[in-house]
Amino acid sequence: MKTNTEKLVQIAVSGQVAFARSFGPWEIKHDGQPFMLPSVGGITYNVKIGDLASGFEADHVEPGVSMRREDRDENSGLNTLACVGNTATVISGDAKGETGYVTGKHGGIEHVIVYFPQATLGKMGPEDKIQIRSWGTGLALTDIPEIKVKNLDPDLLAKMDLKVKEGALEVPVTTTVPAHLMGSGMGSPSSQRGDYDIMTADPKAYKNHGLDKLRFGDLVLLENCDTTFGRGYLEGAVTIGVVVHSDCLLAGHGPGITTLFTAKTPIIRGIKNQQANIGHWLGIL
Amino acid sequence: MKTNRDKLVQISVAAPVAHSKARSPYRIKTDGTPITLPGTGGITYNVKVGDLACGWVADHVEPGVSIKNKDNAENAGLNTLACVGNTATIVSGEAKGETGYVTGKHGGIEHVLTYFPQETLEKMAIGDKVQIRAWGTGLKIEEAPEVTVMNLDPDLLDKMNLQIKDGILEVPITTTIPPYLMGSGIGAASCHTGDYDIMTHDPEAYEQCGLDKLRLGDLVLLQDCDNQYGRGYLKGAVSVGVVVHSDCVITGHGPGVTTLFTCKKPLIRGIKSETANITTWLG
Repeated sequence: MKTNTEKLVQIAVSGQVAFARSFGPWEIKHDGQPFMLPSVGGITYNVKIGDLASGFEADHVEPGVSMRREDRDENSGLNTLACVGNTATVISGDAKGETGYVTGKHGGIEHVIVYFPQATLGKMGPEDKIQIRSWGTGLALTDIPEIKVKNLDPDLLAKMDLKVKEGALEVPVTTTVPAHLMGSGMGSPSSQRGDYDIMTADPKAYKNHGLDKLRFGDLVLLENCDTTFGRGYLEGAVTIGVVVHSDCLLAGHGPGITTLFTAKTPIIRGIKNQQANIGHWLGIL
Repeated sequence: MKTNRDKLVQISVAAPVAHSKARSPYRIKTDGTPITLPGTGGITYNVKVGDLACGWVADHVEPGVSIKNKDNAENAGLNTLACVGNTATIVSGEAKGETGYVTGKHGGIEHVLTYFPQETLEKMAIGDKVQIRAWGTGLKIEEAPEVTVMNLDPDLLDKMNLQIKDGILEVPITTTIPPYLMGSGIGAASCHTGDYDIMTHDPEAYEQCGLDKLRLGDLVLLQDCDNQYGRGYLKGAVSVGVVVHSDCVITGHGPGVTTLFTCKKPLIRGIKSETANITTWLG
């Protein structure tokens, strides 16, 4: 598969470990129950790429390390340029020099989510700095320009070893999600950053689409979802993204998906595969 | 060639490595299409002085390391005094003590652009401080009093080994740009900071001026372009500048040129040379 990888620039972006945030004294579950649970930010020790995205006593929890910058425009630079699979290096503190990978971008809170090995997490502190060799913005499949690639490291794409068959790009996915389950994040101006959530409050849909088995890092196919410029419904459109944060209790929320591929016509085909997780290609799992 | 280099003061200026910013998710291309691309700032690992300026999947990308001060007045000091060819030294972080050169100044975003060797880039972090031994502001060539020299290190000028023939300063250049191709940056108050862009949207002009072959660090001649006190059109004026940043997708933009020499009269002559690039003289 031909790409424009050799024309893509590599620029350093950085941030520091984001402190865990609390919203409210209470947040309200979709059934009206107030709850107080761990949420975004921090170094999350026991929620990892490859773990189930549902079932934790948490809301929007981010696996591994969450990072951001204080300056809003600079944080936008970080959140725009960092791509899933990019190498991240700890550049201050006791884990200085140790490396991991970008695993997702979380919109709204504007965090970049990073995997580091367990031994590294144990050494990290709340304000450690992380630098990312950003690479991938503008990545294109030169033979199929109608498919837009977003937020994806070119080396990770190469490791996926994707094929084009009968004019459609075949991408392994663990499940397929219908458009009516896509929630918060809809209407954002750009899918080159952030994510949008699979809603999990409907028990039948939850079961039918295997959302109970969804894992952090899984690739999923979003039917009739156009994320070329922003996020919205378009019949025939296809989006494939990666699960970046946990299930939620808030109405309209659930596991978040950062776009990796999108097309306005059905020229992306999902191939069901329970191993379709970035952790396998990155050598984490 | 006699200059006033002995009278020029050397003052340190400094700034941390600048982080990339994104104010809007999209840039709007010439044809109206929105696009998200890497741009200014940061440590850019794989775009270097000497590389082609066009063809990158990027907009206004800056080769090497971009530096900027948060304080506007201090940043203006940095951007005014730093000259192309000045020595830059890293004064904090893992690459402390390693040196490079100033390669350009980027207006608007007000970044000073610096070259460091690849192994130095690999050690650097956003926020590392870079100090420049600023030297060159006020530089004059005594035999060419009507030519204004700007943004140029005196040692780099010496290495260029320029000749004056019949009262005309001869400067090697890779290409000549007509005034109608000069875009964003026109009308700025001063050429002692920043740059202005060669517009690349007209395919015929792009081809004729050899813009596809333009390299970062190339010297180019701008015809009928007066850069003495700001930037504007003046028949017969000549400017020679250095290409500092990459091509762009936004209308009215393209590779940026920081002025090195300018004259209101045709007292500068460009001599075509494929090696007219600051890397030739900076080694």
